[in-house]
Amino acid sequence: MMMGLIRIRQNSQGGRKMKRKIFSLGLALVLGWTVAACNNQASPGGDGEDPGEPVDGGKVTMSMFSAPKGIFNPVFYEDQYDVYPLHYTFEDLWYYDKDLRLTIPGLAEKWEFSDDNQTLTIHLRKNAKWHDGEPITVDDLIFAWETIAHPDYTGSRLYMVEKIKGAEAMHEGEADELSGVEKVDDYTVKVTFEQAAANTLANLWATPIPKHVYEGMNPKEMVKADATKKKPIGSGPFQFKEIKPNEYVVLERNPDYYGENAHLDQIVWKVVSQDVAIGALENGEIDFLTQIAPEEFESLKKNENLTVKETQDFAYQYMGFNLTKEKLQDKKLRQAITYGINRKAMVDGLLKGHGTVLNQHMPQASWAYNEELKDAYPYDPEKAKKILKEAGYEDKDGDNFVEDPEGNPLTLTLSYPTGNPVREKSAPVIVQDLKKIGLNVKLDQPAEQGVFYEKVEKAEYELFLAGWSLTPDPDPSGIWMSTDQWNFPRWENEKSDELIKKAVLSKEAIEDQEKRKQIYAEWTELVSEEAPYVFLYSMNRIEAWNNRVKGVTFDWRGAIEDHNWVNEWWIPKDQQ
Amino acid sequence: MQESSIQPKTVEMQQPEPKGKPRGKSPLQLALRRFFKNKMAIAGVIILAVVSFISIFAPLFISHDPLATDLYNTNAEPGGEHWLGTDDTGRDVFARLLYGGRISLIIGLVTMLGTVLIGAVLGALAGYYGRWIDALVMRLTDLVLALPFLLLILFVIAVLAETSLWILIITLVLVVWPQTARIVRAEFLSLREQEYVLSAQAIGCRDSRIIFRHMIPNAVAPIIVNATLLMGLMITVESSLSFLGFGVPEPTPTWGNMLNAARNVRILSSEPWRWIPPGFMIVITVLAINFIGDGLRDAFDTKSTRR
Repeated sequence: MMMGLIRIRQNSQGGRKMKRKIFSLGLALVLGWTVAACNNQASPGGDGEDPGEPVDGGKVTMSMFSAPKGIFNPVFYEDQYDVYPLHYTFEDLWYYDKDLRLTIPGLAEKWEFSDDNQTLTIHLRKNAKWHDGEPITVDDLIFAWETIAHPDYTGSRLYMVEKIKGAEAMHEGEADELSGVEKVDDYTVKVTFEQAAANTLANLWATPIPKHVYEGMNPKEMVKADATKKKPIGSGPFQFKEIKPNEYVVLERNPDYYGENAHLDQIVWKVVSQDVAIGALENGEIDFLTQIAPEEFESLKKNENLTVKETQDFAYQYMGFNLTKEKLQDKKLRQAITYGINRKAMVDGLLKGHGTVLNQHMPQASWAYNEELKDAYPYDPEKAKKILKEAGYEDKDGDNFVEDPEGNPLTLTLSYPTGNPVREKSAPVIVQDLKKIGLNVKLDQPAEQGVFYEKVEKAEYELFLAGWSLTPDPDPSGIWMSTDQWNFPRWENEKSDELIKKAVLSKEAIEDQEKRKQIYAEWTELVSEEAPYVFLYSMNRIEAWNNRVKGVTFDWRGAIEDHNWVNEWWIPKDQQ
Repeated sequence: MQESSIQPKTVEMQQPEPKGKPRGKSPLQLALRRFFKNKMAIAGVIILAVVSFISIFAPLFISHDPLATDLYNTNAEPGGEHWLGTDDTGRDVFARLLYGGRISLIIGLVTMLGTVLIGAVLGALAGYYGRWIDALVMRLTDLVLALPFLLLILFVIAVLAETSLWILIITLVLVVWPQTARIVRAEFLSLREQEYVLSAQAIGCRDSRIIFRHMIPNAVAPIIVNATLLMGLMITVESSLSFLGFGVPEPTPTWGNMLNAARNVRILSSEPWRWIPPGFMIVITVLAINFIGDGLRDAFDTKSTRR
């Protein structure tokens, strides 16, 4: 599932609201360059022992921390647990490889761009079938695009078709079909986009849905249809066997898969509360566990029956400044605060070392990571005090807190949402750190996620803690352009807008990955200098699984979020 | 209560007599004597005194700042530097325990005083005047008592969207006063018919004098008992609210907050120093207060055979 790459984790982002936001971020076109991604080595199931030849049979049990909403359709799902079974039951046209490039063919055999990069021709493989035996054709793909572009579609994926010519007209109800889509034959389609862009492929919806099942329904009916709730017809190596709302979802092997059939008979997803999940993993009730807290890492590592892996996540936490508040408009103050927060200690103490200090929007795992900013803003309270003093922030009344340059007392309020334990713990630490450089920061009552982000959007807070989950594509539009809805600090900068657009639309960026990277380098340095955020840390994604499951691959996506690997999982006969 | 309720009048009449003359003990003295014979109650007083002392004078016992974080010394085990270890942001558990006692005791004490003030005044007015005042006050108490206690507090806190120590105290008072009001009213209903009240009315005493000078002193025993038990209850309520995340906000240390922070299987099993001390403090403090309350009830209740 392409959408699966946009991971939303309850503990770092929570809430559906957040998810909506993340979906509006772009994905990347990533062809012809290499990436210095960390921890990308594949790992065989056991620890060094030869696991032997794969055998068929057995079932694997996975956990969901809360019940899925039950919308098992890649176009409509909103809940993170709906998407987990969808990874294995619906195929994409193409997949990311371990270097974050979209090079692995799925339902598409091959695809090529025209010389002006504005038209894409997709060739589907001819031997792929839906789970009910019907062939998969471009009609199914076009149906998926037109469903998303339909005026009645209210989901969050509109941005994944809106670059296609005619999508806007269709969404406004002025056209019944996408003018930019031309069906050449049953297995070939030509798509024309409004303009050439560096991330066209990454941003294009790539999961066909079965037209023959949904034909004649409008999107509102599709969401409620039996084919979405009870018996979804997919295209992947596994198919739905049973869905019991609020309890479990059972998948079974698809015997007519176009590629190599999966080894496992069944995959079961069951609802296990987060509090007991660790215990369930340790006593073998569940085979996989994701979203593991950093404190649990060491004790799980000691368990010989488990494999524990970590990789840097495409996500980060930050403290935002609301730049509409006059007292936060001084760049020097913001820089001083950045120097004054001991982020290294947060990673060491709160994340137990399972994370990285970040100084830019690009996580280290991304190819667009700017090496130059690696050590920007080291923890330096003396320097912070010096900057404050130079900018006129001095403590004249002797209360150990500085006043603003006009001599008025300066008090800042830090707000944060509930839901992410590490972030909640970091709030009082930040207050203490800033107290040491003479800033009087008050801690707000933690707010419920939905309420919190509503207020952040309305720019009601002063300092706020929040986080982003990112896609492999580095395009920061959606949250960093001056007019973006989720530009929470309300940071308006023409130069930044220009660079963000240039990195996606300019000819040099489309054609040369290295050029695109340079533009992002310039942009990240601008952001670093202006400091509308204090980038705090990027937490590692920690996952563990039972050693009885062999052939598990773990890379930047983790172990369970790509279907290509699930075919390779197997369980020795004596442990089935 | 009838026997003892006649007494204040007698006391008043005895006052002009010369000092030094041997006389009978007042009911208050009798009650105190009975109270001090109650070993459990004495134990309660001592425990409460010790807890209050170390909380109020916390800086004498511990040099650590309960708010100071130390990310390079998190989840430390109990030892020389940190007597009870540190929590997950490196704050000293012992310091938080002592300072946390202040919050719990303040909440218990202030809420109790507030409740008694509002409850006693409204209950007295309702009980003394009867008629529409009584009806009004009683319907008000019915209304508040009909709402689920914890839910009402959560609702108020959710509406206000923020909590502080004082907002929490005010909320608690507003939710709890009907209990005291009802007790005082019931007491006043019976006192109102007593001869000394009637005679005071007959000689033209003002209502305020009758209520505060004659009737309240006779109703003081149930009020004290109720107030004491209320104080214990309020400490547990504060802990429950903090545990639910609706109490006094972080980073203020309270026993409930400390328990809340330890709400995790790993901490429960491997870091007992995080949750046993605050749990123990809540238990012994509330227990001590309840012993005192029970002792007071036995002491004031002249018909009780438990001596």
